[in-house]
Amino acid sequence: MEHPFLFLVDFFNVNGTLYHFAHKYPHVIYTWLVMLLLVGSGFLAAKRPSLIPTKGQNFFEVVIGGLEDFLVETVGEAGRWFTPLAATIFIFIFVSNLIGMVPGFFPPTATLNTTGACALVVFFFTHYIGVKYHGVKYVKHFMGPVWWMAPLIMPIEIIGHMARVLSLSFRLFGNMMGHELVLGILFMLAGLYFAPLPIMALGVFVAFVQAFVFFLLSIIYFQGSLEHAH
Amino acid sequence: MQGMKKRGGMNKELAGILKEMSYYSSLGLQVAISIVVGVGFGIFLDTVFETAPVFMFIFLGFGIAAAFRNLLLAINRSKKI
Repeated sequence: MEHPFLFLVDFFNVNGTLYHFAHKYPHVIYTWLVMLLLVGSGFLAAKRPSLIPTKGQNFFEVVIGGLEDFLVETVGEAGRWFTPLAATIFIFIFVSNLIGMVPGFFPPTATLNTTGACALVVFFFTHYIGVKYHGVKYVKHFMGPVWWMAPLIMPIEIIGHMARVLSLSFRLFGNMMGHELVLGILFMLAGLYFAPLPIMALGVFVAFVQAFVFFLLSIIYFQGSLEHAH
Repeated sequence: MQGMKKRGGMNKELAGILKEMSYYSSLGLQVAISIVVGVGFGIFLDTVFETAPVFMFIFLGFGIAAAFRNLLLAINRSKKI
């Protein structure tokens, strides 16, 4: 089920092929919008960085500084260099979730493609960290405490890692899609005015919590591959 | 600087609660998906090697083991804190 009316898709009404593309993949169009918003606001805020920050710079410093503090508190000092990736994931998912609150906008995170892409990035980066810090010995993470238990532990660990990707992507997708569905059904059944308002208020909360859960779980996974095999 | 310290202190408590809540709320889905991944991989192996239910049951066991291993990790984590 889709939104009854998607605002940005109609902008692409000029040209035949582009309109078809926009109609078929609205999440891509809205991802472009989120990208435009984030890149634009980031560029404007960091255009002239000064020691006494201006409004935009101050805002971004608070957001990114808070995320960095949280990350260092969770992972430890060794994980400070994850901040660019982890904070990007949080901000991107949060803004994509919030954009669904605007009537006529479609949250890009309500499709499995976007969330799956984010989860795959987290998955590959986890193993990149593991290989970078432990080299060949990273295999020990998959072998359990004793060597003869390795054939038993190995499939279990691999299944666990696959389940991480699926659970990350499905949780975010399910929450956002469910929110969209409930809103759509309420709009159809109860009219356009006040009935969907509580769901929309709940939606702001859900948007924050889901972005935070994604951020936190990816941090915990990074930490797991950073530390020594148990 | 002082204002930031104060705000950080208040945030820390809330951040701790949020952290625990979001971590433990993710456990249930992890259990379900571990089992699904195990069974799916087993069925895939069965279609490749044409050994109808053998690998499905083996990997069902592995999936359940992976699910419980997640719970065990959560228990260890909660002991540490």
